[in-house]
Amino acid sequence: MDDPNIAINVTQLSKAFGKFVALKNIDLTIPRGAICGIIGPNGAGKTTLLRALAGLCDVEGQLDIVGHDPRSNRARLMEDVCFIADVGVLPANLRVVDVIDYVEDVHPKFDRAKAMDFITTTDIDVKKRIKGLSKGMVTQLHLALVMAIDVSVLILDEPTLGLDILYRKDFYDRLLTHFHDSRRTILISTHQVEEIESLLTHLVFLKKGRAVLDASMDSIASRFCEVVVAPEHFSAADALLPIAVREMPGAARYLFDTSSTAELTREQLAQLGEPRTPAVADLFVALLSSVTNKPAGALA
Amino acid sequence: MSHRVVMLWRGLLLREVRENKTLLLYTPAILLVVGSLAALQIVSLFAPEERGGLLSLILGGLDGSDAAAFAPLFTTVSGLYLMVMMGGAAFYLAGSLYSDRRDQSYLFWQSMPVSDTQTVVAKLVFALIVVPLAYAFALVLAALLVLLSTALYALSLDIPLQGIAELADFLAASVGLTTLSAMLAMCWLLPGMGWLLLFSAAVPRAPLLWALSTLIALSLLEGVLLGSGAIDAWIGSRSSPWQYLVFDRADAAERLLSYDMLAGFLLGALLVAGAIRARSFAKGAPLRVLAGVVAVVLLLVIAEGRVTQRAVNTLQFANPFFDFDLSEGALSPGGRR
Repeated sequence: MDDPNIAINVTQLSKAFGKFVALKNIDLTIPRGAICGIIGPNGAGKTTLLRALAGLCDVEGQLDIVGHDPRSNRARLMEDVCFIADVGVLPANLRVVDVIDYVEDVHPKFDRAKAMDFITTTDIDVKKRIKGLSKGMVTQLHLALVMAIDVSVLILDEPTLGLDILYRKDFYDRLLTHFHDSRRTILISTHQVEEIESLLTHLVFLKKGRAVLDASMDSIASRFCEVVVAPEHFSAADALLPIAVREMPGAARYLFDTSSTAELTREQLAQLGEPRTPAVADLFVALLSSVTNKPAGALA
Repeated sequence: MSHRVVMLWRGLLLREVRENKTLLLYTPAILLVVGSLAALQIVSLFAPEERGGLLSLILGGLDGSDAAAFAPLFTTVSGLYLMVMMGGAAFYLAGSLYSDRRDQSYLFWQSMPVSDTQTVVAKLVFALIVVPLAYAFALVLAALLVLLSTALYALSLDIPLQGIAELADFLAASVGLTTLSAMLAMCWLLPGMGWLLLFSAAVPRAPLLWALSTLIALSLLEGVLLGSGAIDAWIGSRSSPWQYLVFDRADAAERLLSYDMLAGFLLGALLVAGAIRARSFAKGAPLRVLAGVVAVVLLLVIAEGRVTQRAVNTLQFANPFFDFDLSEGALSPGGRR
């Protein structure tokens, strides 16, 4: 990759498991410093996409993660990329301290003191076996290991799945304060869009293995517009071809894609009610129920 | 070798040590304890007043003799000990590239900057070198225990310690030969290790069962379809303890450089390369890799059998006590594989 500002570049990425198409012609470009949310329903291909980026499954197409192709040199890639999978995957039979020792030995960019500092702020007992820790603690430990590694890309596949709200909030707080800076890129897949919405700078929607949206949050704010419309303006609003309409008591929420027709302007929408940026969850529902095979990346 | 490489291999091997304490520490420790108890049992067969006489008889008898010449006897007996080690190593290898797939911890291991080659080779080095060394270490401890207890017992009964040096010689020679035999055993079994690693890396479940049943099925098929027994001969020869038990240090180098050992290295290397390829998650299709490697190995073994025309079921006893060839009752040097 020539552009030093691009962290991840994916072209025509496809993967099939037998007849099941997990990923179909995905194109993605994620700049350095971005926090990108990979959002999609179960079976949309999130895990396959993230594992492909981490060199953990075979895929067709071109992959470039900070200058490496994960298929040809995963070991080298993993000096610059950390990956937390969607299942509690730390080796259950080892003690916490064994895992720390191992990472210290094999990873040249691991800072043990930093990991230990992090662990002391939790309830993790380093002498315990991993299988004796709660699910939340295992995730905290994994995060502690990853945070102490000086990498440029962090890939998190449903990192907070199965954790309670306190652990989830703590996880994202630590991620933002201790890991993120302008040269580090984070990819997160999750179901709980609302919890990470405020962190994200980029958004990718996956549906049935296709990217139905790949855009920065800024461009989303300028492209999509939500208006609460009173009943007297319903026909006028319908005429502007909303991408989704949700009934509310005494009104309806209309969601517009201002890029769909050239004539559609913010001024027009302002006449219907107060325009605002839609929540990611609403946008997600709207796009995944209306868009079928729309090409991705129109706004990237 | 750079600091980074040393640290990496330390990490990789320590991981195997931490994950396989049963094979590496507990099993030899239990064997050591069982051996000591058995020795005490033998001593207790004699009445207390007879023990002193027996001890002075042994020590007196050893005095000035070439006790080390008896070492092969001990090495033969230790064949059982080596078999426990090899059985443990077989279970270890069959599970090595499978268990982390089963519990999905491979997602963690693979997220570290360790290549598939390093992962697989670390398992091989562990089985080939670390495990035999651990078992040898247990033997050294056992020898020291015997020496110390004999000396203390003799001293307590005022029996002269003449002959203790010869006893030490005997023990040192025995442990030395057994360790050499253990190392040779692992080298001799390299094709078997590669076979287990390949199945461990590729099959979706029950790798040991698949590895063994595939081998047996292929050998039966060869007999039925081709009427030859090249695979059978390999299995027979590789599972014979006489192929790796050495009774003279000079034998070890000869064994190591023999045609059969080198042929085994070649086949083993092929199988290990297959295991590495099957382990590469980003390259996919592990079962296709397995099928391909097995086919190539099969062709090589059958072709080699055709060319060398060696008799099926040839077992050569490379043992100083029985040095003859069982095939057709001939006393000629037969093929060993």
